[in-house]
Amino acid sequence: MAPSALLRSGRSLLLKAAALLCLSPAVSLAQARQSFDFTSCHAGAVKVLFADKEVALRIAEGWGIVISNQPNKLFDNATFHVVTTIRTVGKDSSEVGYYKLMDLDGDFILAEVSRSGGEQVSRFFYGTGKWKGITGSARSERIVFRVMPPDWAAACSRTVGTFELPKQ
Amino acid sequence: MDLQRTLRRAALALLGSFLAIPAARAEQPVDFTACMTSTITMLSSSDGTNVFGVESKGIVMSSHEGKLFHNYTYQFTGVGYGPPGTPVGFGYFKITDPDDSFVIAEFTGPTTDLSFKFLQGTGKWKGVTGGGKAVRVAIGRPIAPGTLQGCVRFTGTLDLKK
Repeated sequence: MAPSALLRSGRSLLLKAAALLCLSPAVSLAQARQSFDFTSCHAGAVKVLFADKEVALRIAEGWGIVISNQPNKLFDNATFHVVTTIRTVGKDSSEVGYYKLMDLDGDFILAEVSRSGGEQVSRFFYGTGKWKGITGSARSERIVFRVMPPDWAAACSRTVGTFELPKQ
Repeated sequence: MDLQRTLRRAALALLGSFLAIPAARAEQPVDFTACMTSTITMLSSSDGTNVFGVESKGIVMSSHEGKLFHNYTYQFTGVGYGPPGTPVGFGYFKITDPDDSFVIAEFTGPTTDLSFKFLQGTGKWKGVTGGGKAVRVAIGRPIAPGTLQGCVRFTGTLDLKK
């Protein structure tokens, strides 16, 4: 074999090996990461901490349920308890809080949630049982939302996101 | 003579169609899902039988193309009697639109065969009648003691004959 052909062949082998090395972690990541898509609805109490013509601070506590939009029914019939604080300045509203999402086995996930305007972002930071070590995040958009004066509100949102679990 | 009979029949048919159109227009299908959280007050739990009261609050998503009742709030007050998980219930629900017009319905039956009947309405729902069947489409493990979270799908017809 000519030296140039040997070089080309060696380079080709190196490229293949590099591609294989790059592919392996990607495959394992793809196996660990799962996506989800569900509709959640909740209702609950709203308390006013402070309100005038310009600014309002409210505390909301809600209880709700999840309907999965996926064939694998991930999180279907999971229930949740959410507590948030809502800040309204003029027409702008933002929200921060936490929720506990519990599956039918009683295993649960804790998540931090924040909303600015209509879109809500949540981040999983703790899990028990099958969800131990979970990390992930999701985005939610409201489907329906009503405030019922003086003291309660209800909403449904569609949530899509991904999570990862540590390998056993 | 034949012409007279034909004309009479045609006039009757025309009159009949005029009378039938408002009724047909007034009746419409309903298909909506109410998701709610409920507070359970247990009156008694013995010999495998529960007796309890339920207060529910939630919101409606419509599955109907006309989006009938979409974004209405849902409130229910009722009682239940029977084995855990399969009681027979009776109560009333109220669904309220953003203009504060509302519909009241009776909601009865065992969990496997629920039915509802519209009883009254206000504003644009004044004179409402109709009803149908309901099925639990989601039921979870209670997220807090004394509570229950779930969704019910209601399908049937609604009539607004004046």
